[in-house]
Amino acid sequence: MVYLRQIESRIDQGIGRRRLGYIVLGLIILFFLWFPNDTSQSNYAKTVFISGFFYAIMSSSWALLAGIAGQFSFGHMAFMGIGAYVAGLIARDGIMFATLGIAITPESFSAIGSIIIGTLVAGLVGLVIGWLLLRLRAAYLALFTIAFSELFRIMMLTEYDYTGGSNGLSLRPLLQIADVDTARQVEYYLMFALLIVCLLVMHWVANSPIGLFLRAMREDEDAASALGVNVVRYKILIFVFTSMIVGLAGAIFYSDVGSERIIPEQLEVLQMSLIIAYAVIGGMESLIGAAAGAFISRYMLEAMREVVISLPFGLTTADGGDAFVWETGAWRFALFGVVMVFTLRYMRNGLLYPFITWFSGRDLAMKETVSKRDGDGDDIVEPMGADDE
Amino acid sequence: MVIQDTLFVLWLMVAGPLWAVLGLFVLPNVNRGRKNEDLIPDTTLKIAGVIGGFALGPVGLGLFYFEPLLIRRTTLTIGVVLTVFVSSQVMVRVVDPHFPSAIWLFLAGPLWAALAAYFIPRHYRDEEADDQNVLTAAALGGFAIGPLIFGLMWKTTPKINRDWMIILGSLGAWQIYLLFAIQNPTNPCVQAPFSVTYLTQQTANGVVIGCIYSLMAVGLTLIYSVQGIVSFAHGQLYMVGGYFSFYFLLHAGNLLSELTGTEVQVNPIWGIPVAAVIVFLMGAIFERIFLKPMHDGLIERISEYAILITFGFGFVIEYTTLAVAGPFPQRTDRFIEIRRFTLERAQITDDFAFGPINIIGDRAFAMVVGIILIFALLYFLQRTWTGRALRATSQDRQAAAVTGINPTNMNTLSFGMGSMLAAMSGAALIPIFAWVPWVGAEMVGRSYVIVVLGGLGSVPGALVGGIVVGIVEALGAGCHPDPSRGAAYKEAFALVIFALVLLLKPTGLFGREQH
Repeated sequence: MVYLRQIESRIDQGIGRRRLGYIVLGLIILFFLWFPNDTSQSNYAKTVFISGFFYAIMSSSWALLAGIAGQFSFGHMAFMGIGAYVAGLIARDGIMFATLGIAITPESFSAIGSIIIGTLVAGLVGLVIGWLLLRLRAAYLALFTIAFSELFRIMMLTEYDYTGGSNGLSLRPLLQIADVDTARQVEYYLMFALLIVCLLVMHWVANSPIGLFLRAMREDEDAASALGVNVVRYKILIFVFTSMIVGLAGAIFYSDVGSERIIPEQLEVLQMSLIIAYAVIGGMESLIGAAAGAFISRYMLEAMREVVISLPFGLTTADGGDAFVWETGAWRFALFGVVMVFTLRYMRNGLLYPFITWFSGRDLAMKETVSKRDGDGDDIVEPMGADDE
Repeated sequence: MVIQDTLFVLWLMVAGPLWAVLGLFVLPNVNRGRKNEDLIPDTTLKIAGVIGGFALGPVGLGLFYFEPLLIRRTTLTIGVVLTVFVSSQVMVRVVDPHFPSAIWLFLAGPLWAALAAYFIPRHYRDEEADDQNVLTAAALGGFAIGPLIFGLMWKTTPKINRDWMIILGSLGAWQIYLLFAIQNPTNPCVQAPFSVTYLTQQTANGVVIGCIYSLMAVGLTLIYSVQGIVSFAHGQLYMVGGYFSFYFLLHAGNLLSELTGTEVQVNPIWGIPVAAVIVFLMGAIFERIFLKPMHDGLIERISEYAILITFGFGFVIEYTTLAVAGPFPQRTDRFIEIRRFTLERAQITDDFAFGPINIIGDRAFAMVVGIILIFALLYFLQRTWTGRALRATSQDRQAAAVTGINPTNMNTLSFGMGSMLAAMSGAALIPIFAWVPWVGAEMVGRSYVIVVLGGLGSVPGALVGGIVVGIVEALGAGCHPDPSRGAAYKEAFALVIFALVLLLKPTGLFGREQH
């Protein structure tokens, strides 16, 4: 501990924590940029990473909506599905308004065009639902979106003439690449770039005046309203914004090279609960925390598919093996849920919060303020202590 | 089991009047033990007793006895429903099936509704009249009677009470029915010789399943009324209740078979109390560990915390169940040997027959269980000290604490009981539905619709809401032109109610006004 303290004080005097944080972040980004060039990695690992990026977008946008704006929606997966399905259907069938005599053939849409339309439709549905529900108490949004996403899933399952039912719908490929290895690589960079762009945009929104309004509303809606913030309008704005982000992410994720199909199972409440759990574990009030939480949890869940415990000292199991092999199945998710519940109870800001605050130097400022207030300089206040007050 | 049609006629002739007479004498007892200002006029009670007894039999009497507030509305509803039903039957026979203005009807309803909903509340505000419920009434009225609603509400700006709502709502429902009949004349719901029987059959199915929906929704509403939070683990508790019942029956059956040496089947009814006890404990322990800190002021932004923590609880339950039980559908034995109860076809006039109506035996049994449990709960809430303490806590925590009620215990009790009710409905339905670990998700959406429709925190609201949602789902599924789609979209019909309630009256039918 003493050495740690010494290193900490050196850093505080020297390069500064924030700068160190940027360096670490840069290294992480460099690692991700380098990763697909590592020839020893299989395509499977890249696939895990790609879905990790996708879930990082989902979780961080949910964190923006729930953690920063305080609006609890369980409809994130449904909006993702709207984006993907609309993009896929438009690219396949075009648009027909028989009564108005409008018919646009599918050929007139490029893959990008259909993705944009999918995103806009997701935003539009978000607008209607937001307008209907965001005037009411927080619980109503949660109640309605949970029912809505279930309905959307059933719709996609039932209308199999259009959506392909449980076989899923394949979207028009964004890129036509024949070679599987190159395709994975391009897909990887595409998803990573999308994640970075989404994070930057959301970070900008969260730190803009709108983000401040949203935080103020989350803390005390009446007070914010009394200070002249048009509460409902900003809530709807952020709801539409996050709906569009997940719609875009869904449309791109499922149309990257055309190997993935969007299936209704993906829209289940269980999948939604995974996203929420990622965000909670990573830290709901920090976009980067939620994104990192999603990526790490995703990786851990993937790695825990089969737990192998090697026995030391040449011991063997009853049937002669030298390791216990445990097919974790659904248990890993159950365990994951337990972690989520305890995180919520005892570390409200997520398991990554200590790292983020340490690098941001926020706890330093907090310590200073508290010690000034208490009138002595001893660092008796723990960084996490402020969290519980 | 088949009830002969003579028996059926006998039942109609004897049972209705019998219950009516009983109601006439029993219901005035409601006034016993009430304070002077709460007294309900004897005549009202007597009329309610007669009508309730005649139309709903013991159910109606029990309902009125424990919830006298329902008397007025329920009698009115029965009257309006009967009138609308009979008149729509007449209309369907009279109107030409290829009525060309069907499209007009369809477009005009929402149009007038939007216009009325926009202008009438503004007019009320200008006139400084009481504008409570005006938005709802205007929208309903615009939909039901078009421009006439302006004539009704513009000049005199009448105060809108529930009677207005019921009448306008029924008119709107009638119009939808009419439109449906015109558009789709071959549908079994409107086809002349069968429609009465078919609709009654569907309605009966809806009521039967609605009672169990109610049981589950009452649990949700109980938690909300005491703690002010919505339990997002409710669907999973329902699911796990079914599984506890299943495993108990399996092991108890095996054990008894071993002991006695013969094949023994345990009746699934024994699974209900077992699931109830286990899930009550689960809920209570969860409440103590994770929700109690919320009320102790240890957690900031409690409404968000409550949503997430209950959701996380459900998450853990669902995946643990999946790990233990696997994704295979399970089902227990039946409650009773009788496959179905049948009301035989009754030839009333030469060209009008009624029946046969079938109700699946197990569903009927589950309904009876549901009704008994709900009345037991109402008795508990109204007549026992603990129940009264629970209600007192839900009305005013501080005042309740001053009178010596421990709010912490009441919180635990309410969460435990709410969870228990979900588990009981799960255990009551596992003999009927195929049970997989994700059945909860479907069911819980429905109970959210019910509690919002009935008003969050209102027990009678949950009762009525459950039955309404059951009926709407059954009618929607049964009357959809494409039967397979109709069945799949069952929940969609409930969701339409959800959206309408949120749009028109977010406090629900019986809810307290939102602050």
